[in-house]
This record gives sequence, C-alpha cells and structure tokens, in this order.
Amino acid sequence: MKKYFSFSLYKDALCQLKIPVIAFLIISLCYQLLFFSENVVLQLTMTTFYGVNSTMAFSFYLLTPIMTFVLFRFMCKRNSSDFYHSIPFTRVSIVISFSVAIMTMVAVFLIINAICTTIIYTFVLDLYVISYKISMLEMLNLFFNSFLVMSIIIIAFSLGGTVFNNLIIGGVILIGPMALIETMTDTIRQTAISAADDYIFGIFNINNHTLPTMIFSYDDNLFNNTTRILTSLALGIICYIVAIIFFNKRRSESAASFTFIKPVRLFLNICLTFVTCIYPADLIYHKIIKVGEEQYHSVFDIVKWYLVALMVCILFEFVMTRTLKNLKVFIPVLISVILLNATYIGGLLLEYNKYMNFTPKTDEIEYIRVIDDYYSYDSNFLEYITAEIKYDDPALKEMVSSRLKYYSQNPDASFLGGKGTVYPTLAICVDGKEYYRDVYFDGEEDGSKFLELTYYSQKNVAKYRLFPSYNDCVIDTYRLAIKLNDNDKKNLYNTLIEELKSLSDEQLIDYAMDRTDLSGLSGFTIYDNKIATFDLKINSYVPKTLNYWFELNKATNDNNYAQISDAFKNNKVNSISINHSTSYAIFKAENMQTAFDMINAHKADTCSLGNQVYDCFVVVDIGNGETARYRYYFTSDSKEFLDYYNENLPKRPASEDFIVTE
Amino acid sequence: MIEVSNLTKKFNDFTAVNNLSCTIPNGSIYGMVGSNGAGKSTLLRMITGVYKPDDGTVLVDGEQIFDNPSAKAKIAYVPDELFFLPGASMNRMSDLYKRIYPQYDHERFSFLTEAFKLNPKKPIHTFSKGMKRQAATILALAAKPTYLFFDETFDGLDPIMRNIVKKVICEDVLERSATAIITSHSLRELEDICDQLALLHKGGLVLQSNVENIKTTLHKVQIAFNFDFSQDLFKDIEILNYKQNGSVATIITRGEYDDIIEKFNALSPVLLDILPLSLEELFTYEMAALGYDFDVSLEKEVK
Repeated sequence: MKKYFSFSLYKDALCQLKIPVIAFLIISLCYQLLFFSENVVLQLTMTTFYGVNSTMAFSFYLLTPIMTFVLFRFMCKRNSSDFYHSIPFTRVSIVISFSVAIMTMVAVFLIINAICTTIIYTFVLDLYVISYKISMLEMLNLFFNSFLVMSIIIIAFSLGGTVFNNLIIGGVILIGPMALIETMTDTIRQTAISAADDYIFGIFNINNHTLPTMIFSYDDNLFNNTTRILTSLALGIICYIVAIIFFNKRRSESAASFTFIKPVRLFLNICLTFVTCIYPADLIYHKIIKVGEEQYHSVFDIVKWYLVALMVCILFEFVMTRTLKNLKVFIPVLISVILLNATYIGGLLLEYNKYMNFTPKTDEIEYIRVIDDYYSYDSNFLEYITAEIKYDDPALKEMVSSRLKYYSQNPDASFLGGKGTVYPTLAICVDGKEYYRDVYFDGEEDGSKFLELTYYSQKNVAKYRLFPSYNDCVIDTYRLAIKLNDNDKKNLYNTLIEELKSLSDEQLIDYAMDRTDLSGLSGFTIYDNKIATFDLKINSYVPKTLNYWFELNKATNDNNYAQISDAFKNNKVNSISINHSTSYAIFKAENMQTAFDMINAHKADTCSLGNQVYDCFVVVDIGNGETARYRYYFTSDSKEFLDYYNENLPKRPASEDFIVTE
Repeated sequence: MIEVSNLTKKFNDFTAVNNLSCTIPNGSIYGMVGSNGAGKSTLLRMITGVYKPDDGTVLVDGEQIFDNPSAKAKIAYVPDELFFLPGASMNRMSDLYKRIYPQYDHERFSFLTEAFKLNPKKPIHTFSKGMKRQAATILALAAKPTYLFFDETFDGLDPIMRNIVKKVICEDVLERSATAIITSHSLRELEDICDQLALLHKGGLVLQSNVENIKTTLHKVQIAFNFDFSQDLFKDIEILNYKQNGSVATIITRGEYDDIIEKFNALSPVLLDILPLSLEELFTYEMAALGYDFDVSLEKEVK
C-alpha cells in the first residue's frame, strides 16, 4: 500500500492546500451573499446548486489548476525537485498522495458550497426548491472534470521543465483534441446538409464532453448531462493513468530546463505541423467529395500549403535546437504528420459518406422521432416528451425518405429557407438503430405538411396526458393571481391533469391551440435528469377545472367587491380591462363604474366546454405608488354584458389586435 | 555501507560521471572534493536516489536506492540549493520532516534550533543564507538518518558556525554510528573533519584514500648539499616532485618516515628537513604522480 499511497504525504498536502481552498470558499460565499438578491424570483422556482451558485464551477477551472500548481510546482525547480525525489517515497506514491489530496479538497469545496447554498436559498428565500438529485449530478460532473483537469496538468508538469513549458504542453493536450474535433465537425456541417450538429462523430462530438461544450457551445443542462458525466470520468481515468506513468518516468534533471525533452519536442512539432496541414487537407477532402467552392482550388494551392507546413516543421526544430544537422529527426515527424493527414481526411470522408449513403426506403423506416423542434412554443417538459414520440405515419416516412435520397443525389444541395420552412433534427429508426439527421422541409407546403404529421398530430397532443403526479413536481400559482393553500393547489392540479387525460385527441388539439390566456398553473419537474418546466392552461376546453377555478376565485372575489366599491368612492380605480383570446381592451374612464357593475352582475361562476371566456381586470391604486389587480371572468353566456362590452368599445380596425381607449 | 559500482550519468552529450566506483564505509565521515564540474553533486544525487544512473548501481546496505523508500528512509540529503516550503517556518518544515522520516526526533530539532539560536516560528525566507543552511542541517540531523549527505554545506557559513556544524556532524557520527558524506571544492574545509577522502575530476574518481594513510606516506623533504648535484643523485628514492634552487632541493617523496630519513642521510646532506604537507599539497602531488594536469592557479595556491 505504501508503495502507492502515503497517508502522511497526503496529510501534508492537505496542509499545503488549506490556503487556496479557504480563499475560494470565502470568494464563493461572498458571491452568494452579494448576488443572491439578484436571484430573487417572483414565483416558485426549481433550481440546482449550480443554478444559483455558479462559483461551484471554480472547482475545476480555477481551484483545481491552482491546487495542482501548488503541489506539483516542485517539478519546475531544481532544488524542490531534488528534495521530493530524495525523500523516502516512491514516485507513484507521491503523485497519488498529492492527487488524492487535491480531489479531497475539491470535494470539500463542493460540499461546503452545497451546504451554504442550501442554507441561503432554502431557509432564507422560500421561493426556491432545490433539486438535490440534479444537484448531485452536477457536483459529480464538476468533480470528474476537476479530476480530468488535474490529470492533464500533471501530464504537462511531467513533460515540461518550467511553468511556461507546462502551460504550452497543457494547452495543447487540453485544447488541441477538442479544437480538432470542432474543426472536423464544422467541415462536415458545411458539406453534409443532413448532418445533425450534436451527433456528428458520435461520442467524440464536443456536445458529449463538458469542457468543450463550455468553450465552444452552450447548454442549459451543461453539468447534469449523464453522457458528459461519463465521458469526463472516462477521460479523467485515462489521463490519470497516463499522468502516473509520465510522472514515474520523469527525470529529476528535467526540472527548470527550458528545453523540451526530445519526445515532447517531436510531439509539439507534429502538432504544429499538422495544424498547418489542416487547410490543405480540407481542400483535398472537398476535391474528393466535389462539394463547395473549395473543390475548385488547384493542386498547386494544396501543394504550396504542404510546403509551408514543411517549412514550419523545419523552423520549429531549428528554433528549439539551434541546429539542423540532425536531419533524421524529421523522419518520424513527417511520417506522423502524413499519417495524421490521412486519418483526418479519412475520418472526414467516413463521416461524410455516413450521411450521404443513408437513404432508407420508406418501408425500411420503423419510426421517426423529432429530437429538436425549435419551432414549437412548448415548455421544455413537453419538448422532452415530444422528442420521445415515435411517429410511424407512412406519409411522414415517405417525406423523410425522399428528402434523404435527394441529399444523397445532390450533395451540393443547400438550405433554401423561406416562409414556413422547418428543419428539425430527426431520429430515424432503421433495423432497430436510430440515425440522427437534420432534414429540411422547405417552404410552406412541405413545412406545413410536416407539422401536420407531427406537431399537430394526435400522437403529439397525447403528451398532454403525461403530466407528472403532484408529488413529482413543484407547482407555482403565480399566474392565478390569488393565493391557494396546498390542498387547493393540489386539487386544482389533479383536476386539470385528470381532465386532460379524459379529453379525446381532437379536444386536446383544441385545448393546445387555444390562445386564451385566462389562467394557468406553472411547474417544474425532473425529466431525464433535467429540470423541466411546464405551463398548463386553464381554459374553457377543460371546463371542470375552469369551474373549479371559478369556485376558488369566488370567495376572493366576494371580498374584493367591497374593496373595489370603496376604491370607486375614493376615485382610486385606475383601469378596467378585458382580455379575450388575442385582444385586449380598456374601458374609458367615464364607463368604468358601469362596466364594473355589469361585470359584477354577470361574472361567471361556471363555464361549459368550448365556451368563450373573457378575463377582466380591475386595477386599483392602493397608495404608495402601488396597485392591486382584481380578476373576474364572464363567458359568452353573459349576453347582456357582452352587448354592453361591444357597444362601449371603439370599433376595432382589422389589423390591430390591441386598442387602448382614452 | 554504500557501494557504488561503475556509475555513469550523461546529460545529452556531456558525461557528468563516468564509470565511477567507490565504497563508503559505515561510521565514517567521507569527503568528496573536486573542482567545479567534477561530478560531485551529480554523484551525490545518484547516491541519494534523486537521479537515475544511466549505467551502474548504487547499493545502500545492499539495497538499490533509486525509487526505493526503505533505502531512502536511511538517508537525509542537504543539497547545495536548499528547498523549503514557500512561506514555511522551521516548525512547519519540522512537521513536514516528521511526516516524511520515520525516525524524526522533534526534541533533537528543538535542541539544535536553540543551540543555533534560530527562531523556529519565523519564515525561513527571511533568514540569511547561512541561517538557511543551518536550518537545513538541523532538519537533516533531526531526521536521524543512517547516512547524511551534505553538498557544499559549509559555503555561506561563517567560520564559527562552520566549526559548530562540523562539531554537530561529528557528534552524530560518533553517537549513532551514522555515516556522513560531505562534498566541497575546498580540501581545507574537509581536512579536519573527514577520515576518508575522495578526489573527483572530470566525472571520474581519481583518488580515494584514508586521510591518515595519505598523510603518513607522502613527505616533503628539504635537502642541501655542499657540492653540485642533480635529481640523478636520488635515483633510488621514489620522487613525486623535484624542485632545485641552487644547492637546496625540495623533494616530495613517498615512503615510510624512517626509511626516508635513512636514505637521505646516507647521501650526507648538509641540511635535511622533513616539512609538514597540507592535504591540498598531498592531493596535488598524488594527482601529478598520476599524470593529472591542473591549472596554474591551483599550483600557485599550493606553493
């Protein structure tokens, strides 16, 4: 055991790391205290530790590099390197003991932050609900990424002799592969029209890795994506093993040496030369697939770039060694660069052909899922469910099959765009395996047809029957404008989701398409390890719920009546307005009393299915510059009020949806 | 015992230590002397397991030293360039040493710190160069290792402190039967403390000997005659160096004292004196006898 780990060295390392950890904890706490008021929300919000305390990410992009530097900087100076290599520990036990100490401190940092965040946001601000499950996933990802970053830095320290050299090596190892993948992904994206961004090159796509996603992309669920957690762990383990091997092999005399050791020098030369070769390699790729303007570059253009790469290779060696006497050193470099070029071009061609050769016939497609429907207005809970719906409509399969065939036959096809065009990312199942493709449905005709077969189909609206049970979500009633106790809130929600389950598909479509903004419930739930928000409308297509809602409002409205009457006496009524479907109108001041009397006399206590519902607001000045809003409803059954309403509003010009009366 | 066999170490095209073999007996104070670039520090780093030799072996009590914690636990190394944790005080370094060395004795550390009049709570980076050397020596001695290595430790110490450090090292060697290996580029520094001496030059071990031995076998004879003479007169005597100025000759010769006196007296000189030789002179003449050429400045110093 002592050969691999020393508890005493570990303890001493913890002592050495005290100061940076305490400093960062104080910074995190100050950040949370200073900025928590900016995180105050008006409605109940489900969030995670990282969601309200982004300083937790310091763990891997600031704290870990600093701690690794503190413990391993001995490798950059002769005296400290000699000291640590003379003490009675194996090299392996030094690196493992120190790295375990670093990861211990990362865990301490994350846990203490989690505790502070819990205290601040749960006990101080009662509008937050912290999802501990997702928070744990985030912390796991942060921990694994810290492990990965630490391992890469140790590799760099093992190969370099000074801090500057280590930065170069670490930068190449950290940024190089992800930049290369992103470059190749971009090339495929530009040449293969059906290539779906997040799925190009499979597991190597930067979207599956936390660090590159942070640098090159964006994702709300950056840290709680399980694929990223696993790739961070896997890469961390690989890099850590490499780090231990390199650390063990490192010669103490490398400390403080400004020159790179020969293998590192050759590696850097290969990297630099290869980077110079990427452009001509791209040109070769375009020439082979005959797509894009790049295909028209001459052979001379390509050759001249490779000559430049050769010059870069020679120049680098000359700068590093001050001599060009030993020409044999170029042989492994050039062979490696040639192989890398072949791999680069070969990799692009393989990926490209994967897209171009994917032309399933209609009857070969088992089902299609719409992964990314950016054009919907659904909350993300519904989007997540939508992504799992398997459409097997033959017309849809035919559309998709013909589009893919078209792309294969017309590799230079480009996205036409235009009104009505949709271009979702689809998962197309063939022989039990899913293939991810971007498919463009140009123009209104194709776009509408696609939407009709998917978004507006019965299969899609079925998602409204899949809302979680009350105990599996957090419901906020801010849209209701009245406060409900927990029991009423639960009953209202349960009534709504049960009623939705009972509606037919056509009724659900009506419910989904209705734009009346009467009332609703919003909420958060956990779906596939992600916080998913949802909004549920309460409208006349769920009459049972709406009537229950009216009943809940009644008691409040009765109380409000007396207050509004007083407000009229004191000339404190600011406005009375009505909201219906997509229109909104305000009564003239001289009509407000009468309008209110009419509303009060005809306000609805019930509503039947599909009835028109009008939403009325009475806004009252309550002093100190503040106003209160009172809400009433009436339906199309209230004929007398409707007549009054239509008489007292100015005629609506056809093109305007909103009018304000004077 | 430390056994070094055929040790070689190269840095790119430069050979710092070339096929060197030596034995450091237990309980001795072993001095290594050599000019700058002779390979002393490199050899020490290989013996203490800091460097991995390109060829050859280093055995400490029969065990390979490189990456071997049980062998390294017997060793404490005070290098020429000292290391302390950034911002650390002696107490902090003592904590580190306590965790590193199994035999570490905190009482001895406290005793020595007091004896050297150092403040253990003050950051070591505020100490003078000499005080830092004292601090490093104290920590090494408190570790109670079997083998102590001091690389040019006396540099930067004032003469009084130098003597104190030498005294402490000698006490340690005597009380615990420890072995001390001290390098210096000055024989004068090592003369009064070492009982074994090795001379390194250009990566090789030129001379290794017991100090007493070397002092009793080389002699500086001043002789004068009242007749003309040359070096041929002394053809039966082993001469390492011969200088004649008129009728007086100064001769460096090897042999037993009584034999030397008898042989020279047999030549009927008018003057015969056996003069004391410093260690530096002894080494210089041994080296010359081995065919090594030193620069003029060294010869002037010897004269």
